Amino acid sequence: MTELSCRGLQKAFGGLVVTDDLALSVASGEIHALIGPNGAGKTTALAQLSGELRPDAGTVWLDDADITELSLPQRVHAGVARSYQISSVFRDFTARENVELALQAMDRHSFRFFRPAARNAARAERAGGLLDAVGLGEVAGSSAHRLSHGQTRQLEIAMAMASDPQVLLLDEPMAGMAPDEATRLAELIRSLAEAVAVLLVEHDMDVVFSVADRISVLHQGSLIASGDPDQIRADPDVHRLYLRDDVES
Amino acid sequence: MNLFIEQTLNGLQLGFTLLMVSAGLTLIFGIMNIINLAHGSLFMVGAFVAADVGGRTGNYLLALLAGIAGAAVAGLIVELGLIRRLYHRDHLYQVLATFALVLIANQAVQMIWGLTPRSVSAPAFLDRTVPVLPGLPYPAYRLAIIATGIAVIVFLHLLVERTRVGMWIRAGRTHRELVGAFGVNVRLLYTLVFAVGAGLAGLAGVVAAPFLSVESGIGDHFLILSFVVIVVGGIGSLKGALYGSLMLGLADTWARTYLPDLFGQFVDPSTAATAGASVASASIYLVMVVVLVVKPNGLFGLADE
Amino acid sequence: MSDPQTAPASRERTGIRLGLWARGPSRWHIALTVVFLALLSVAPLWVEASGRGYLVTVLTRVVIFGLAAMSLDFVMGYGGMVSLGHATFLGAGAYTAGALTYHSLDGSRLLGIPGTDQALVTWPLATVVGALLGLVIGGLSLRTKGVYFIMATLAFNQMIYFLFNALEIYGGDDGVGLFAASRAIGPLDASDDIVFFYVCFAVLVVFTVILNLVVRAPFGRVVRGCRSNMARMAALGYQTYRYRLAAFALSAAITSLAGAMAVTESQFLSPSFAEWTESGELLIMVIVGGLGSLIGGVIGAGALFLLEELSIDITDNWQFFVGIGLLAIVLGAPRGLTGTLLGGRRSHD
Repeated sequence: MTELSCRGLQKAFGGLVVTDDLALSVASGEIHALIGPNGAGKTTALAQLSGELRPDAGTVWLDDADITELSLPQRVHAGVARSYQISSVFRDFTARENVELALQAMDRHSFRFFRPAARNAARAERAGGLLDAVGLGEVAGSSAHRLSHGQTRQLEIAMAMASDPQVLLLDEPMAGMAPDEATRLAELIRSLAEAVAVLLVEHDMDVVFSVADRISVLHQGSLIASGDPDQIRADPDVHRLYLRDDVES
Repeated sequence: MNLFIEQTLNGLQLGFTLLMVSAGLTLIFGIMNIINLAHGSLFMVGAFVAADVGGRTGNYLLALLAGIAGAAVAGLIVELGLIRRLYHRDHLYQVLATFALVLIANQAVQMIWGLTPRSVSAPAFLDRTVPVLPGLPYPAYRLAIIATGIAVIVFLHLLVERTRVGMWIRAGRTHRELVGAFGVNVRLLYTLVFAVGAGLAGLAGVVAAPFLSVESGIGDHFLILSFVVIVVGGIGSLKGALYGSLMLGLADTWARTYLPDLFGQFVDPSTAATAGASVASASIYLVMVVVLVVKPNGLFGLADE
Repeated sequence: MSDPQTAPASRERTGIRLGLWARGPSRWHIALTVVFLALLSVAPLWVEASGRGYLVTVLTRVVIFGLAAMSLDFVMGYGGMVSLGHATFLGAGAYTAGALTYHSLDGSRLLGIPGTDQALVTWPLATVVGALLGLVIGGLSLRTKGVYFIMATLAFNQMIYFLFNALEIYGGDDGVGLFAASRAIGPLDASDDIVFFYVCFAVLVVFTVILNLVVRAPFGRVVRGCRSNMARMAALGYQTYRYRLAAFALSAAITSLAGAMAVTESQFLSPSFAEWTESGELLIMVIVGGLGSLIGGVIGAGALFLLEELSIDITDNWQFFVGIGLLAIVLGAPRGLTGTLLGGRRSHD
């Protein structure tokens, strides 16, 4: 049982407050979705949880450990992994090499200069396993730039899973996906969440309401509602602000 | 005390010369995001054209105007013929293409003006000293350079902050695609900014020429110094260019004046002279090192960009 | 919202796009490397037999500067770090070896150490000095990125150049001849130009093998990953700075070794090794030969030096035409000679 949480998170760019006294938590076994209109500060919040962005104030906890001071790579080693909204796989590498590179990051160091990386059979096998798990087993040898958009998103997930994380921060994993692809990815995320904590930033409300255990709504940097999907559906503030078009129509 | 004032003025004079080179460079980089190694060649063009025209006519003002115009026209040609093909290319190819221009320009001035170094003399009406303090005469020409530098920074400040063109420049810095949407002819804007930057480099070449021998490659050192200015001051910021230039000008001059003496307190005079001169020659780069350690984006850089 | 800080650097302009070598060394690449090195290995015998023995020293310089260009290609083509300051390390190596040689001729001491012209001492020492200097300069410059990095490396280059200029003991900006020095390499006397060529060639072969291994090893994969997307590498858990710094220092060390070899070859020490235009010329060699191919650096050096040698009787304005040719390559054939040679072949490894 692992829990990632934050309290009193505060961040401003110049005069613009993008995160305002934010408190959140996500525990293993659950999918916690973070939603909100464009500009609500979802990505910024995610970046502070992942360690890419330092909050101006506030604390990030992993269970009882204060990880606010840890950098992005350090948090990955501590068990917090993330995926990106804009696909950022290594286009020059094959799908397998992408996952192998992610696995290699878990070695204590990569100052290994002579033995070809491709000859590491154990790692290749683990990479194969992860690719199978996300449904990319058949295209493992293809260059990443040849993969379809949906496959690239799946590859992102496989790479994020390579660090064997306890917490997974997913930034709009379904963005730009066809509905059937999105459904399959939702199932995958659902199955991942049995073992890990998933914080999901997502625009597709159908997906959010079908997979999330908990939903928090962000507006202008601060939380205006938090609860299970039914509670959020019924919340008048959320309705007025944001959900009208997506849910009721 | 008089020595200190004199050296400080020398430092300011060097700093304002640097400013003329680096302000253009930082404007060009800030708005077009292009690295231009040939900026030093525009400095050189200014100096050579001024030497040529000055040699023919003996008229400094004519030489000055010709130098600025020559560099601006050269900049115009370079922008239209090459630079605009590079805006969307990788920085590596910008470096290579503009380095090619450096090679071409350095050779071309030799083909046109020969191998013998030329000279530009300070104008007769400034070829005297004025007392800046009682008992402290100072060359009028150097004071004129400082005044010119101040005029340049005021001009650029007004251009960027107060005019419509400046508004586009500022908008283009942060929202490149927006400027096009305003219906501004971005290409024309870029060409104009480039030509202004080139003219300023030419101006620097002319005013610095009396201290130098005008030969192939004289602009290269000023190019590299203005890179240091930009690393210290921050890219795309006029304020950074101003403070960076002055800091480096002063650091260089002060170090050259005082370090040998300072070292002389600890080691024998000849060693002190050598060591002092070496460290002094590195002083501006040491400023850069400190900035890289403390504030890698430069003192006035646009944050995190 | 998408903040610039959190968006991964997939759109970063400094990321170099490579079609051909992107996936690391392929079979074709290795074949080209072997063929070119084989040709180079018999070239001195051929020029000697055809009565143009004076070209042997040109070939030796191709090998030496090709080694430097190859190590620049390692940081640039694989690591995505555009260094416009590699002449710094060329100069550092030259001054390390040259100073030791100078003091051995002079009988004087350098910081209390007696000089030597024994290459088995001067070359490894130059390599170490290059690595250390690479750690310092790389460590500072890598705190910046993109165009700042280019400017910073160039600025440090100029600083070192002026330092060498200030070394009056080695002739200041005129430099100093070391013609009385031996070319002793261990027990071998390499004063014969052909023998010296093969010594340098052996060094080149060793480092060609090493660098080709390194780019395929786990370390090389990390470095290549940093080229295409640093933010993503950090998100995978890599401390990107230290890998890039290690790559930079490795490259600096090899370039410095090349500088030491160059001064043993020319027996003349001068600051011109560290001139900033020399950094630009190394860049040209890499680009002419083909970015991200390693052997391309040597091919580029060969193209440049041989063209220079051939054109010397025709024109004084050699640089002018180098500039024109470089413009043509940048605008017309950005994949360089090897890229054009191997055409549209895709790598399969």
